[in-house]
Amino acid sequence: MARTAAPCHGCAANREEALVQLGISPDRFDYLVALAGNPNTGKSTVFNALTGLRQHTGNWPGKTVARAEGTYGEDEDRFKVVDLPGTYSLQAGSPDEEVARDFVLFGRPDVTVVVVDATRLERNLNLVLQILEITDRVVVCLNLMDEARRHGIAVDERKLEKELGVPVIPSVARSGTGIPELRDAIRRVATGEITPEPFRIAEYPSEVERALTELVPLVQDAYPELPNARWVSLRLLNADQRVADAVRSGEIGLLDSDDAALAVAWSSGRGGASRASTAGPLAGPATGHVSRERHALDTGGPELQGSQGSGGVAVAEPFPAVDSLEAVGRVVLDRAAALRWKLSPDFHDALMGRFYEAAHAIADRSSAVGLRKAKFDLDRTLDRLLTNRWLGYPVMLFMLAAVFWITISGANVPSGLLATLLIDNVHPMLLSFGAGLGLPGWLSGLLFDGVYLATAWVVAVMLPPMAIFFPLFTLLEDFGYLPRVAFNLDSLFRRAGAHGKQALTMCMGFGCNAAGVVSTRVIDSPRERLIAIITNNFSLCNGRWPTQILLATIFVGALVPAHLAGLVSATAVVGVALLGVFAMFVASWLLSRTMLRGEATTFSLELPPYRPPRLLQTLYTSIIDRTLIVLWRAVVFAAPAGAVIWLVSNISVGNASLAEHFISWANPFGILLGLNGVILLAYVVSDCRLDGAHRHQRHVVQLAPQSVLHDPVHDLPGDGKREVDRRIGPPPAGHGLHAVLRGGAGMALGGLRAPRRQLFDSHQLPGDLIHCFVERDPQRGVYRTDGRQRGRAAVEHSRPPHRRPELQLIERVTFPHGQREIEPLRDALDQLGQASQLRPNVLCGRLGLHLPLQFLRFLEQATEPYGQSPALAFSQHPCLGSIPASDRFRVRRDYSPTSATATRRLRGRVSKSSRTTCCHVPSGTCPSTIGSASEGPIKQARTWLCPLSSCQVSSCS
Amino acid sequence: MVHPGIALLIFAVVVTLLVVLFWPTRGLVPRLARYRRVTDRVLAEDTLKHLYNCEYAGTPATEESLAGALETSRHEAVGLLNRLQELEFVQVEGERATLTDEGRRYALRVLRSHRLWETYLAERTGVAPSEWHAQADRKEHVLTGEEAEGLASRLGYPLYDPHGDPIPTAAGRVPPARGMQLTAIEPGQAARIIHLEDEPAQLFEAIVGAGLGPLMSIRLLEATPSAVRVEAQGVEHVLDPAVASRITVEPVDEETAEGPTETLADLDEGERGWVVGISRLCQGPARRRLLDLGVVPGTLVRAELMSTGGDPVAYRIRGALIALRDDQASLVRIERVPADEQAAASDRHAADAVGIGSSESDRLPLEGRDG
Repeated sequence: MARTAAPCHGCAANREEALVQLGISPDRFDYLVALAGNPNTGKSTVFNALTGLRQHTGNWPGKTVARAEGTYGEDEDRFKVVDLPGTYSLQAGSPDEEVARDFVLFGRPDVTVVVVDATRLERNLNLVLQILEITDRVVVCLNLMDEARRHGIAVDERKLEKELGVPVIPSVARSGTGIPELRDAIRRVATGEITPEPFRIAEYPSEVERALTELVPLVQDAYPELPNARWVSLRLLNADQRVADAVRSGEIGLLDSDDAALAVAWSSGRGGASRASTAGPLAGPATGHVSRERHALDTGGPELQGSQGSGGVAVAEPFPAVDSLEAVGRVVLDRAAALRWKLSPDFHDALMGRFYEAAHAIADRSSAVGLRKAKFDLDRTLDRLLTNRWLGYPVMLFMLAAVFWITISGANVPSGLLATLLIDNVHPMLLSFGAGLGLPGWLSGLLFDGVYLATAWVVAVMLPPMAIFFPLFTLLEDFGYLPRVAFNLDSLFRRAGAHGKQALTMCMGFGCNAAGVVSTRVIDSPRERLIAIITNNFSLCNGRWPTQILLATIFVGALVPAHLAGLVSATAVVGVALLGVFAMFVASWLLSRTMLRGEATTFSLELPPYRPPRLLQTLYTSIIDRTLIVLWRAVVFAAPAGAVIWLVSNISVGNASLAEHFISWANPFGILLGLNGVILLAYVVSDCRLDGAHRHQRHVVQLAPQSVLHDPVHDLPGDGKREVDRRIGPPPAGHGLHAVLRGGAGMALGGLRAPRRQLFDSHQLPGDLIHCFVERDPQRGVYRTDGRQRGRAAVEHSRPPHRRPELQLIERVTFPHGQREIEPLRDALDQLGQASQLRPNVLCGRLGLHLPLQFLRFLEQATEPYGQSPALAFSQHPCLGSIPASDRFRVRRDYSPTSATATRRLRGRVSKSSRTTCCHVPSGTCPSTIGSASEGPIKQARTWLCPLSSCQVSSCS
Repeated sequence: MVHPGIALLIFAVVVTLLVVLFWPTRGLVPRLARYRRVTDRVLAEDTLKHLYNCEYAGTPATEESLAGALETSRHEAVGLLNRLQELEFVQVEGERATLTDEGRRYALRVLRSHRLWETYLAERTGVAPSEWHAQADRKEHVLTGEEAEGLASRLGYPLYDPHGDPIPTAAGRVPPARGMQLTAIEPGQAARIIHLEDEPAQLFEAIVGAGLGPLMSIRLLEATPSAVRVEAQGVEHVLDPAVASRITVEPVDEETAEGPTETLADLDEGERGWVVGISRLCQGPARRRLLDLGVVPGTLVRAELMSTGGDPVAYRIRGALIALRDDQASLVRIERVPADEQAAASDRHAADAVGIGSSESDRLPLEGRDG
């Protein structure tokens, strides 16, 4: 039955609350249009053509199924279009189908537009017929007419219209052909100008008919308004939980009424039902029980709610009271349950067969195939080529390599620009802005150094590659190539117990693991989806590529002659990526045979026809849908993590920061795991993505080759050594990191308990073990450096020192290396810069960003044969020159005898803010480097790499 | 400080130890706890179940049969029956023990949980058929009534479990037993399997291994004391009589019996066939997905494209190109389009490649339509 315009204006408002339950925003609209269709029918193209850019996306409530809605106006009416997920049927077997079915049935759209692929008419008609069983108010949009023509298929839309009994509008949504006609048909159906007389399956298989003849009269008696009693009965025979709930609560009888009070009553019943139906099978309460209870509760005062909903109008009388509604529902359900025993268990098969039979007949009568015999079938030729036994894999590798190359080389420049803007320019501005406002030090530290820096790094590093990678990937997807990749690779993945589509999510992971995990929802089998999610981290995300490139250049590239270095290291990087893929297979195999053994598996993969991709559309949707969403998720995690990192390093309890407490507490566990407390802390407070926050301290990280460090505290006076032993443990046997820790602690304690000179000298550590301890001279207002004198008064700092826990203990140890020894490494870095096509500051940013400590430790051991400290090489590399002085220049304060606080550092910019532009260097401060320089101020702090042996003394005047 | 290698070793040993001890459900500690908690109630519930099974099958339940079913001593069986009698679940009259109404309700509740769980394992997981019964045997004592309800709702209120047994409704209703033993029907008679006995597991495995499942049509060829020969879907199986006696069947008409068939996996590239049906071994979401894609009896399917590895093969099904794995395709029974028609069809592959998968005969005349 069709409604006229007048009540529908009302019913749109009445439905409001019900629609809110379904996740539809209740803004103003006159007519509600649902857009349904099979996957890959160009449904979203139709949606975009209808609504333009006035749309927004989200998830259906309680489900991870994407939902898009938008509006358009015509003749002063506003139409709201809701894009339902693409489904093959409405049997509610998957969340997608459930969402679509619920909306078509319970959302009571004024019009349901079914988008139909003209080239696959029969399959698509199956869905159309199912929707026609539910609702009359349907418009069929016969999309992809151009493709059908290309393939020699003609569809007689008038014939089809006659067969189906609803308007059929041929269209080519890509070019906008047919869209005005579609809007017109929607309007006419919505306003009741057209009254569709839909085709319905005349006769179901005999046993189903027998059951229906018993059930349908009962349902019709109970709910005389119900337009689709046959369908509802059928669903009851199928034990459809949602429909049964609606019957039980009486909701089903309200679906065709426009009464406000009952709409309210319904929506409250729906709340109970939906809550119950979303609960898990084991955790779920007895669903009927709950919905009954809730319903009784919520509709306890129907008059009250009704008068609110309809502005004082009395509740409509013709509807029975809640109690009898329930009683009626119970009778219907009992009968349905009894009838189910009489049906054969595979009646559902026969039912589907009947639908397809009808679809086939209709398609046959209204369309013709093979009109034009294509001389050259592009689809077929492409398929033969791309799935060829010999060509399939090479073509695939080439395509993926091309995508990665474009991403890596293309993201470089914008990444650098963003980093310059956000870190080098905006960050200082924010700091001075905070100072101007008079923010306390801790607050501006938390906000700008913690939250802002972490976020800024995430944005600068993640945004450009994603904004390139995702559109490229989407283009391949739209073209139809990616399903072929999944098709080709499925035999490999099947052996590992995984799904072919995991190939796609894995590739997506090469762009960004977060996006890779999100994209696993294309896998419909639960076990395979879980495997894909768990193993996604084996894809090197593009944030990790530069680290790989760096490692390859240093360790592999350096082994071969210079002219081969680039090639060899590139090969090595590819090797590492392949290693990741291999690990992914192994992990999938293990998972599917151990933890996930027994999880269900299903596989089906539709290979859509090839379609020319549309550039602008793709760019828009992939940036909106993928890039920004993924970026937002990353930022949501980065910002609090930045705050946490800052806080744990800067809140002190007793004499040490929280971080230090944690480190000393976690150290024993860490060592058991082959790590240490610092690394554990890094794992706890951040993930690899957030190492960005560490980056601005990167250059102070220095490690000692273990060959030099036997036991740094060996010669300390007794109490000092004991103290170190107590805190860090006895001397290690060739354990580099441990030695470093001891060294750090030794020096900290040495500062307390023994003349530091003794510590240094006893190890014959030359003076270029730099400790340019700087103190402010209160009289002169300048910072003075003094490495050898101690016992100065504590220095008051205008800002609290910001400490990075992992650096604290390590950074103070550095070892001398002659300039010449470092050169090969520096050359390697140069090559790296060239090979990776990264601008120096981007390279360093990335390095810092992904330079966790275990990597450094690895580096340390690996560089040992070269006899050099990697950190040293890093810091000497010209790239550091591009890092702002504010980050690089740190002023340290000595340990005071009265305080055991670890190193404190001051930023160089603090000295600027206290109008100090030069540092005073007493003679003999840094003997090997500055030693030759005469005593006097260093004028340009920005070129002074304090803690390093290669202090650029040239700038000392 | 110990050597890091040794430290790691110690750590690994400790972790392994902890896992062995405390792993959820399989660790030693949870096992012990469960064993202690569960035994009494489990024995009582198993007793009720046994009594109900005997009642359903119409055989008398005695102390001996109970002791045999529970694999326990007769003494203990007597103790169990006495305790249940005190609880008014059981009435013992001489040798025979019968259930009271209360006891029957309880037994049906346990049975419902058991069969629901079996259905869940069959439809929603990849657990091997031989493990269904054992897992359900454990689970039936753990599931609460509410959990069983939730499970039933998620499974769409199934009526039969994967062995063909009716699942008692929440109200405790069960249809009466039907069918007869496979060995009891006439040789040459076609029949449909309605029940497979899942105990003992070895015999059930033998049935499953032969590819037989509920609702399958089979034909008894010959029954001798040493072997039972049956034909199912065109394949002849020789079953041990002990195995055959665990299959319950219902005689059907000749017409509905399924003749010999090939499966989709037998098609070579470019060959076509009509779908005859989907095997009963394909259940749950997998079956529904195939139906949704249009794999229903009468559909013309063409094997169109082999993947690079050769396993998933893309089939042209009702106009769409759908890739299916071999193990799925082998569950779809087809009737091959004869070779001469195959040849004729290959001429027209361009049309079929995008065609609306219709049958051969009734194509529309192509003239007079716009292209």
